[in-house]
Amino acid sequence: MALVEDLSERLQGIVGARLQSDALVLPSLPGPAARALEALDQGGEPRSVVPHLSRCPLLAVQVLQAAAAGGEAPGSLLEAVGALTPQRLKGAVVAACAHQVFESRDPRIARTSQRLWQHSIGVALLARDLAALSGGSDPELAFLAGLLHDVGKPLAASLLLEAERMSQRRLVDSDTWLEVVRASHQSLGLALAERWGLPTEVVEVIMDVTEFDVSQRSSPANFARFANAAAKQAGLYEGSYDVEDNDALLMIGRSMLDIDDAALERLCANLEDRSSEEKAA
Amino acid sequence: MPIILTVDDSAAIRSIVSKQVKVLGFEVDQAKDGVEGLEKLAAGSYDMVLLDVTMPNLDGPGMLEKMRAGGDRTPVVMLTSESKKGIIASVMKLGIDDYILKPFKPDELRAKILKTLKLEAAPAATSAESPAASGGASGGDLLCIDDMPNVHKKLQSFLPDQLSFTGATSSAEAIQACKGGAFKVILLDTVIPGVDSAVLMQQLRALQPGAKVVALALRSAGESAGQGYDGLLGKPFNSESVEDFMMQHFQSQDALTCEENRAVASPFHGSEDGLKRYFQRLEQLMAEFVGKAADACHDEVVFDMRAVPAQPKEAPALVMAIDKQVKNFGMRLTLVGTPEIQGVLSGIAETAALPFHTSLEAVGC
Repeated sequence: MALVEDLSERLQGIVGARLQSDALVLPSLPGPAARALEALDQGGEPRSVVPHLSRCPLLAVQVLQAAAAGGEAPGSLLEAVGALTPQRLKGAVVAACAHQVFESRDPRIARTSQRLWQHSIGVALLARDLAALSGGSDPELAFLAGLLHDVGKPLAASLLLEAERMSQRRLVDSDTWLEVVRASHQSLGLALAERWGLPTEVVEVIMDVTEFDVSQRSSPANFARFANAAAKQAGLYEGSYDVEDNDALLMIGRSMLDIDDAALERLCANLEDRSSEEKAA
Repeated sequence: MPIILTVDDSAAIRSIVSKQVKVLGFEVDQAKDGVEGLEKLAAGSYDMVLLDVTMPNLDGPGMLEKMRAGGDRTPVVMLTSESKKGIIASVMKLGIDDYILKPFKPDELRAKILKTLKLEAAPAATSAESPAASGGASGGDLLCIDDMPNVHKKLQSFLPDQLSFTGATSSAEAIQACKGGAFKVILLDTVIPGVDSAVLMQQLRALQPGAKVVALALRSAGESAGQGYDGLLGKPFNSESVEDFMMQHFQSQDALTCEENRAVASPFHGSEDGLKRYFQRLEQLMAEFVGKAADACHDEVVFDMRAVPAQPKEAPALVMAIDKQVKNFGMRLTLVGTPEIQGVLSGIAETAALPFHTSLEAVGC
């Protein structure tokens, strides 16, 4: 455990120093995505983002898929944009960019990153469903908060890998490696959230996914926290976690968010399959 | 009668809890902190404890620890404004049955008391805050979700009067309706602005595991629009397509009611175009029923066709088909019907000779 703490501290030290000197290399939002989000933030008509989206095939595909998920496939990007709410459109754009963060060519990171991404998708799906069923929260924000709660982890993994390359030796075994990532991802996630201008609700979850904010019971962030705990219990997680703490979080969340136990059980029963399908899409 | 001990330093909370417990018909006793709680437990017998966390003198976790150390296994539900997972995890280790976060809804308190005491929940209708009581839907035959009110209006015009219909124009209305009670069939528009119908379908299935979810999509979208659903109804629909939908999802269970060797046909509702399909469906269901009656070694099959329209061609054709199947199994067919049906059947040699009565009593049922 001392090794994990030591490495985490060193990693956080590197992140802090680089942040202070503005030398931390973070993935940027692709230009078209940044411009599309800016247009949406300025309250522009959804159609105004079409020219930006059409410059990036990845974004265009993501938006077309999001619109097609509702039923009929849209005939054009303009039709797809028209079928989505601004909130959902923003979510699709950010999701496409976040997916890139979890992509790695390094074999040591690739598998873990993909599993982390699948966990994130599962948390996002569950958070959205539970928020929608509650009727008192924004499902799309809950989705985004769930999707991005671990966005700092692949970045931390990359940094750790960089540290290993510099020292020219393998610093830790696979299990410890994940623990270090888990303990040090937060500041990287927050830095990325700031750079990308992510919503407050997403920032709140990145900041703390393991305690509810009781001052805003039905907030999208709380649904993402609950979904994270439920996904872990359902087996959709990479790495170890404190089972007792997780059970406590679930017990608190059931009451705080007025969770329908039977509906939760049904939603969790096929969560792994749903997140795999979504990931494949 | 169960006795519940509420331990809380707030007199207001103790009073609210006591009132709710009494509504359930249970007895209630109060303690203002852990010390008094332990004294009450030592002096009397309680079926469960509702326990706060933060209290003077002795807090909830302290009282719980002493209870368990002394071998007291009385079920405990934490009722607290404490939401730090570390504290709740520590009381879970000591053994609690459930947790309620303050402020709480009376419904949650009642539900968790009943669950902890392993008692049946009261019917939803008695709950003052249930969706049904607060003006929401209470389930029924069909829930139609479409953002266009005209779709609801037109669909209803094709549906039989006895079928209960609930309409929703948004996902929020649909979810609220599904929380209010069970539906047999949910008809879901696949294109609702701002709504991902596939996501909504998942959410409704989680709330309504017994319901069939049928896609409502433009005909031009093709069969693929119904993928992942339990069926497809194309828009614009007409009386014929709605009747097909009804046959597929409702009348397969409702067109015929069977008991032992008796089968009772349900009335036909709909336009003349649907009559042919009604008779076809009855013939199909009667064929299945006759097979079961033979399997159960009955000598006679009684077909109550009083609700069947007296169609001059279709009614005799149906009876002849049934009679043929009955005879194939070596049984006999007895009919119960209206004088109008009798008039139609008596004009045809093959059906005129069959035993016919105008009431079930006359057959001895």
